[in-house]
Amino acid sequence: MSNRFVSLPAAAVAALIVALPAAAEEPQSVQTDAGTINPAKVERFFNQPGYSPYAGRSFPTRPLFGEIHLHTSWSPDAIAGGTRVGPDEALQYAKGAEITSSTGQQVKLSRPYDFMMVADHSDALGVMSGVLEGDPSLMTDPKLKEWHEGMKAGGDKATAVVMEMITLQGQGKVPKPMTDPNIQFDYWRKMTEIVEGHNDPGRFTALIGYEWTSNYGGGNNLHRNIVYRDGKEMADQVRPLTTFDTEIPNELWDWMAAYEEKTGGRVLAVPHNGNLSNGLMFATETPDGKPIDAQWAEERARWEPLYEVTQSKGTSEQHPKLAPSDEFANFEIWDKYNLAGVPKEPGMIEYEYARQALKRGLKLEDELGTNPFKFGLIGSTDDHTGVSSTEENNFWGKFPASEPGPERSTGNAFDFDGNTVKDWQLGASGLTAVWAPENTRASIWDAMKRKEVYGTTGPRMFVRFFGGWDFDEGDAQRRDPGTVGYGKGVPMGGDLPPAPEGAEAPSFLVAALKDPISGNLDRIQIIKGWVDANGEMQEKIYDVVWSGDREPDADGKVPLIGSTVDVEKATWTNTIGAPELITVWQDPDFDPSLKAFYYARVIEIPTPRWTAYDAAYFKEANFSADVPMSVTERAYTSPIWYTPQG
Amino acid sequence: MSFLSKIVREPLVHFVLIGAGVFGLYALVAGEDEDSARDTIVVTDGRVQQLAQVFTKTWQRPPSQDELRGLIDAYVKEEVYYREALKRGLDRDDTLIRRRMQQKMEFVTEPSDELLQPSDETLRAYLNENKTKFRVEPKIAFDQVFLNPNKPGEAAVRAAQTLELLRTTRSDAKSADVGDPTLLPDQLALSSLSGVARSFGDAFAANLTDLPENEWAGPIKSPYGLHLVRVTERVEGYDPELADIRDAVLQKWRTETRDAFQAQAYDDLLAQYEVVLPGVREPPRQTEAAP
Repeated sequence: MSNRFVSLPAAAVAALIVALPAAAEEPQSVQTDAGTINPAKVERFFNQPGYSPYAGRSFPTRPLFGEIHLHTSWSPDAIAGGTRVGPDEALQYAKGAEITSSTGQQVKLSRPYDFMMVADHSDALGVMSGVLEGDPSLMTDPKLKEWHEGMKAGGDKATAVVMEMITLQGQGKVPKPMTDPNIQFDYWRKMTEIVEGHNDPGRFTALIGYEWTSNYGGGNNLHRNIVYRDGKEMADQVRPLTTFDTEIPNELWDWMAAYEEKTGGRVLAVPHNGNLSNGLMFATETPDGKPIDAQWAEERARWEPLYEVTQSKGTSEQHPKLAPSDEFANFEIWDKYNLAGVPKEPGMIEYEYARQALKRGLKLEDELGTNPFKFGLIGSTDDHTGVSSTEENNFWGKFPASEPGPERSTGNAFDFDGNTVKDWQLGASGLTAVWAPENTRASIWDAMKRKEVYGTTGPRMFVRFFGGWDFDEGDAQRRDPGTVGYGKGVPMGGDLPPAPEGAEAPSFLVAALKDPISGNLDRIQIIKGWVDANGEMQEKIYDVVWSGDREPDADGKVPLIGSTVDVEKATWTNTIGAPELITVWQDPDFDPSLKAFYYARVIEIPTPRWTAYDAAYFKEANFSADVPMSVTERAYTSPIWYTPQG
Repeated sequence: MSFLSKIVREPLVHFVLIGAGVFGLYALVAGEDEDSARDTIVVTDGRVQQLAQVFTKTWQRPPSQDELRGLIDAYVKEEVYYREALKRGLDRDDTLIRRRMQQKMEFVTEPSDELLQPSDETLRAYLNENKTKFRVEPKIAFDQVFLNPNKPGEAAVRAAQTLELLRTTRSDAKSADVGDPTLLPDQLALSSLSGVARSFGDAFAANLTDLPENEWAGPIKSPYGLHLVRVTERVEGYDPELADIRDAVLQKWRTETRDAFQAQAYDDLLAQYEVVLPGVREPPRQTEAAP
């Protein structure tokens, strides 16, 4: 049983009920400060739910929304592209302020975020210059010259210099050139200072982080965002890892271990864009060609508990070719090239998509003892404008060139000698919802670590997903799925506890409430992946609850909902779909001897895509006929895993 | 631990020694100058130490001999390319380099720490001038009963019936006992109106302002359906005192002070230049498309 139960009143009551009959046979009184307590008295208090429905409630009642992958002008590719919005303005914007974008336009979020992580490329966050390099220009300062000589002399003299440096540093009396910002300026310390200034526990969390941007072998996207649980004091102690240091992910994990050992802090890494890795993101060998082993699997599972499944450069949940029966898989797919325009070869997509990796992880667990791909799912933007934008009617592109304007109807987002990706292929996507009890760095980071998170393609849908062994239909009639969910099961990101005696198949409580300013909900699906008795990877998608009175076909598939989108006006109506959906679902095909995972996908009704808003707003916009003009937004929860016992 | 052993364990000292060794070796292997016309790249002890320090700061251990040699090789390579690129003028007309230089200049012209430490009077004056930016929003707490338009029966009719029921016989009823199930909270603790809008939508939040207190009213429409609402508490918006929001005021003041300082610094620099522009003319007008 997970220790989450300990803090919950429902579980405490259950435990007491079990314990009491034994105690009752042989009544024993306990003497306390409050007098004598006997079992009957205890029973009187505990055998009923607490009077206050809120007392003892330690789980969050609404998720926190934000993202952890925004670039600002401090990223070289951003500033080269004309981005003028720095981390300070980007964080003000995330808190709801109106700012001026790099193209001089006013921009504001529909609603503030609860948290944000600016993740600029570490390769650009280096120190500008070292003090001890013996640069002739520094030697004009007599003290520095003396130190330099002392260092060169070595021995006692060098020792004396070191001691003097430490002393003067402690007194704040180091020579002027050493404190000159021109010489000493350090982007990372400045970054952490700015982030620290915006962190406002309880109201808005500014996480410290950076992106380690490995393009191993030339454009093969192995990028990771590093998320710190800690504040500036710890983050400053260790220099962020750059790709000049290494381009191999397992060496990034060494760095993470070194950081934790040095500071006592905590970090985790979130990979993204497997779709641009040309087969490397979830490969079964390291990029430098070594087969992965038990240690590798253990470290990947430890350091990378999450995967960014959707963002502006495409969505990597599942490729339609790998799941021909999944009518919702063909969503914002980028499958032509890697990041350097190198075309994909057959077989590569097998190792690029999240669902495929979740399945392969089960298989690898048999071989390696650990499931290396046991990750939860999030979304973030990867915007390089300093403007995090995920809403179709407020989409600010990926670079200043794709900020709102008629040019982005025909422009190229990427151009590799004629191999192009058009601006219109950019997705207004990537938001993370975190089930954290408090809006603090520690609470959000901990929820990320235990994968109690989900990703959306932009809308702020409220999604609950619990797995257990005894959810029943009545649980879906209750209005507090949190209470019953935590009481009877595990939340998204968790492992099903061992099946109790007599349990036939796991059951799941799943609920979703639409974003008040976005489309109604079409359906909730539960996606199951497993490895069959022959070692083959399998998946199945179940429509578990849907709006209206549509009848599923013979295969259990619910017909498409249709569309109310008026492309010309860029509007839609919520006359189809439902504002909220809730159900309990039991796996009808459960085999207790096979490992499996389950995650929920919540699908909205079609709404206008950002391209439709552009076409309606810019007279000069000139989208070609093949540009999609509507979108079915969705949420992806982290999975719940089942492992057979023994 | 003795003072001396601390020094002996000091990585900086190790680097001096390792650096000197490696550099000596390097000089030997590289050989003496054969051509006096060749430029010199001097890798100083200090540079070696810096490379080693950055490595140590990153990996939390000093580099091995091989690693240090690799760092020095990479540094020399970078220096060779850097110099050759400068000779060929590759630093000019490179957008990335130009903008990075601008960015560095902006960092360098940051106001000093003293300039960014305002007195309370300064902050109070700033707050007075910018009251609206810091105004605390009105707050509201309420109970709500939900009527789902997708359930059988006209929602508006059921709303009227339920309201009647709540007003007459069951004013103390928990909203769970009447109305339809929903994932929306049935009680909302004191929240700002924008917080209410986050969960219930803008129009719903705006319609709360006219409702009576401690009395069931409505229905009010939201994107989810109809709601009967009993406002349980209201707190008016107000202008907070500096002491309550000092950090927020300080942060905004600093941002503005920095911006003003930067603007001034740029104006000062610009004043040192005479800028010659081509003949100023109107950008060509977009011709109206023929009907």
